[in-house]
Amino acid sequence: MLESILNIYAYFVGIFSLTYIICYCILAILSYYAIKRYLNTKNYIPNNVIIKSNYIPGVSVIAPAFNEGATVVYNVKSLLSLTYPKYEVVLVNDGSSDDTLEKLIQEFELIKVDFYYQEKIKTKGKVRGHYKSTNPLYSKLLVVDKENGKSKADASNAGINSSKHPLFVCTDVDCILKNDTIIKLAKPFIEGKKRVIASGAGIRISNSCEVKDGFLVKIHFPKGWYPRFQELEYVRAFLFGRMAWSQINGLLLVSGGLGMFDKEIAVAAGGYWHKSLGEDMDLIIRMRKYMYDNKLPFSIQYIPESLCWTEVPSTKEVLIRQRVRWARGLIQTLYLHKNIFFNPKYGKTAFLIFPYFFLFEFLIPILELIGIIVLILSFFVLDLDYHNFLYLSSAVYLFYLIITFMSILLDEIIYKNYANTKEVISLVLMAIIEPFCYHPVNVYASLKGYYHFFRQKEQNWGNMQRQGFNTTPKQN
Amino acid sequence: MDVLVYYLILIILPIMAGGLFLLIAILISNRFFYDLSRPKLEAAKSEIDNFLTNMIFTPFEKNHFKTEIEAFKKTIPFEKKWCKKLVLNEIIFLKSNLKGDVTKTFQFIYEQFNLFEYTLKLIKSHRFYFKCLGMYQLESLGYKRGYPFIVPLLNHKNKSVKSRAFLTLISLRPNKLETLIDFSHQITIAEEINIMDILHQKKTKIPTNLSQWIKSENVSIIKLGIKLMVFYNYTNDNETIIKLLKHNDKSIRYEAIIAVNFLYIHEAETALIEQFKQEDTQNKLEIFNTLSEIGIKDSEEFIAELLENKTAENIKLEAVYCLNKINPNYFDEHFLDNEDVQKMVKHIKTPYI
Repeated sequence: MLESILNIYAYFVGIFSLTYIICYCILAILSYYAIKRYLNTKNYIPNNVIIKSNYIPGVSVIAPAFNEGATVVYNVKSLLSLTYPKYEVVLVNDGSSDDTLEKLIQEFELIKVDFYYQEKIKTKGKVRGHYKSTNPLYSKLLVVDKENGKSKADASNAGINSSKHPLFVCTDVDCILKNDTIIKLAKPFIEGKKRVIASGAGIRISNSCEVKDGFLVKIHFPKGWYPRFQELEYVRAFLFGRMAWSQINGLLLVSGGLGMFDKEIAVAAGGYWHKSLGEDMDLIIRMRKYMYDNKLPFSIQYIPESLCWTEVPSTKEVLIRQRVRWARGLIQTLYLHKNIFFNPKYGKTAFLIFPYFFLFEFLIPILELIGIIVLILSFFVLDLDYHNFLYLSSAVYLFYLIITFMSILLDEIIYKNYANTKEVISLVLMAIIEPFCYHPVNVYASLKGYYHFFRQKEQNWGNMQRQGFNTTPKQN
Repeated sequence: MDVLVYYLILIILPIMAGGLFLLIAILISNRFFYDLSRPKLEAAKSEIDNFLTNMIFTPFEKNHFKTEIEAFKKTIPFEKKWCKKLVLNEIIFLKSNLKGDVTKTFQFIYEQFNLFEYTLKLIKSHRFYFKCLGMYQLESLGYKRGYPFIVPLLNHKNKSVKSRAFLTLISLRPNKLETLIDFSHQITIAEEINIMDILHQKKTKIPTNLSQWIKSENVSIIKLGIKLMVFYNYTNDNETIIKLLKHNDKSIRYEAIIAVNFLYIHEAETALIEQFKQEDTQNKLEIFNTLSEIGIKDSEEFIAELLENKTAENIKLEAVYCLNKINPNYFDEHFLDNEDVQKMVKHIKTPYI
C-alpha cells in the first residue's frame, strides 16, 4: 500500500517538475523579448525631452517613516533631489516615538498648515496634521503626521490621500533611488497604448554600498553571506521572472520598495489593505480586479533597470522573520482573492497567473517538505534506485544553475553593476552553493509562514534591524 | 522510466553541463575583457572630451580644424566602432548642452570624423532600432544633408521607424510640419511630446494650414493642432475652439478647455459652464482651472451654486480655488457658516501649500 502511494507520488513529482521546467523555459524566452523590447525603444523619448516637457503627468513620491530619526533628514534630501519637473515628496511620519518629526521640522523649516485632508481611503491611524516648509527650497516637501496604524499600508494610504498628483510612487524612506527613477517609471504611463496602471523596476541591495547624506556614492557587492544570496535572488527575480510576466501583462506584484501607480485606479480599488502582510501584491490584484470588473483595458509594466537600493536582512533570524511574513502574505492574498481562480471574468489572471502562483510559488515549499519525508520513507520501505535519483536531481540542479547564470549574464551585459571580475566570480560561487545553504532556510521560513496563517497567529510586523551604510571617507 | 533516465544520462545531462560551463566561461570572460579594456576606453573618452571642448572654444578656421582632427584621429583607436560611437556621443552631448551659433562647427567636426558614413550605416541597417538611432543622430545635430535618406523611411512598415522619420524630418525641415495634416495614423502622446520639443528647440514658424488641423478627421491631429495654437498664441480660430468644447471626443474637449485658458478666450465662459455637467472629473477640474483665469460674474454664481448643492468631494476643493481666484473677497462674506467650505478656504489661502 505505502509502496504504491510512494510510486504515485514519484510520478506526480515527475510531471510537476517537468511542467515547472517548461514554464521556466517559456518565462526565459518571454523575459528575453521583454528586455530586448525595452532596450530597443528606451530612447524613444530622451530623458532631457521629458525634463523640459509641459505635457507630462505630475508624480507624488510617498515615503512612510517610522522611527527613522537617525537618517530621515538625509533620506528626504535624497528624495528631494530626484530629477523630474513636476513632483512632490509626501513623507508620512507614522506615529514615530523618536524624534523623526522634530528633526524634519528643524531641518526643513516646517510649519503646521491648514491642509484640507480628504480621507478617500480610510486609514486606521488618525492624521494629526500636515507640515509645509517656509523655505521655498523645500516647497516640494509635504510632511503628514499621523498616529501609528501598525502597518506601512495605513501610512501609505494617508500619503495617497494627501497627495496632489495623478501618479504616485510608493517607496520606503530608507530606500535610495537613482536620480532618474521618476522619469523611468513614468515613461510607460506616457508611452503606453493601453492605460498603464502601475510600473515597477529592479531593486538592488545597498548593504555594503557607500552612502553619503542619503546619496549613493559607490555600489559594492554585499559582504555578508545572506545579503549575497539575496543579491542573487533579486537579480533572478527582477530580470527573469518579473520581466517575463511584464511581457504578457501578467504582473501580480510590484514591489513595495519601489512602484508607481495610477492614483485614480488605486483609490478606486481601495488603496492598500492595512491588515495585509503582502500589501503590495494585494493592491496590484485589487487594481487588476477593478479594471476587469469595469471592462477597462490596462497594462502593468516592469523596467529591467535597477533604480532602487535597499538594505536587506543580514542575519538568519531577521531573514527568516521577513520570509515568514512574505509567505504568510502570499497565502493570505491568494486566499483573500480566491474568487479569481478560474473565473472567466478575470481572463489570464484567473487561468494563468493565479494558478501559476498557487502551483509554483505557494505549493513548492510544501512539496519540498513532502519530498524529504518521501525520501526518508523510501530509504526504509522501497528499494530506492539511488543512481536514478542522483541523475534526476543533477538535472534539476543544472537547470537551476543555467537559469541563474543566464540572469547574471543578462545583468552583466546590459548594466555591469558589479565592480570587477572578482565580484562576478563570487556571485557564481554563491549560486553554486545557494540550493544547499540558502534555499532550505527559505523553505523553512515559508512553511512557518503558512503554519502561522493556518493557526491564525497574531500578525507581527517585526523590526528590520538596519546595519547602516558605509560612509565615504572624510575629505581632508 | 528507464528509457527516460537513459536519455537523461546520455543526452540531457551532458548538454546541460556543457551549456552551464559555457555560460560560466562567457560570464567571466566577458567581465574580464571588459575590465581589461576599461582603462583604454576611459582614457579615450577623456581625450575626446578635452579635444572637442578645445575645438569648440577655438575660433573656427577650416584648414586648422582639418589638420587638428586628422592629427587627433591618430592618437585614439578611431578605426574601432566603439571609438566612433564615443566621439559621436560626445559631439551630440556637447551640441545639446551648448547654446549659440555652434551648429556649423559641430557639423564640420562630424563630417571631418567621417561620422556621417557611420550614421548612414545605421540608417541602412535592417534593425529598426539602429535606423531610429541613426535618425536621432541626424536630428540631434540638425544635419540637413541627411534629409534625402529620411524621406523613404516615412512609409516604412515599422511604426517606430516611421514615427522617428517624421520627427527627424520636421526637425531638419521645419516647413514640413504642414504635411502632418495628411497623417492617417493616431499620433501618440510620446510623439506629441517629441514634436512639441522640436518646436520649442527650433522655434519653427507657424504652419500656414494650422486652421485646417483642428478640422481634421484624425482626433490626434486636432489635439496637436490645439496644442500648436496654444504654443503659437494663435487666436484667429477662437470660434472653432469654442465649438470643439462640445466635440464627441473627450480628449479633444480636454485640449480645447486648456486652449481657452491659455488663449484667454473669454467668450467661452458660458459654453464651459453649460458643458460642465456632461464632463468627467478630469475635464471638470480643468474647467475650474480655466474659469479661474477667464471667469467673471457668471462663473462666480455657477461655482457658488455648485458649492451649495451636493457636489462630489474630490472636486469641491478645486471649485473653492477657482472661486477664490475669480473673486478673492468672495469668502469674506459667503459660506461663513459652512464648516467644510471654511476648511477648504483655509487650505487654499495658506501660502505654503
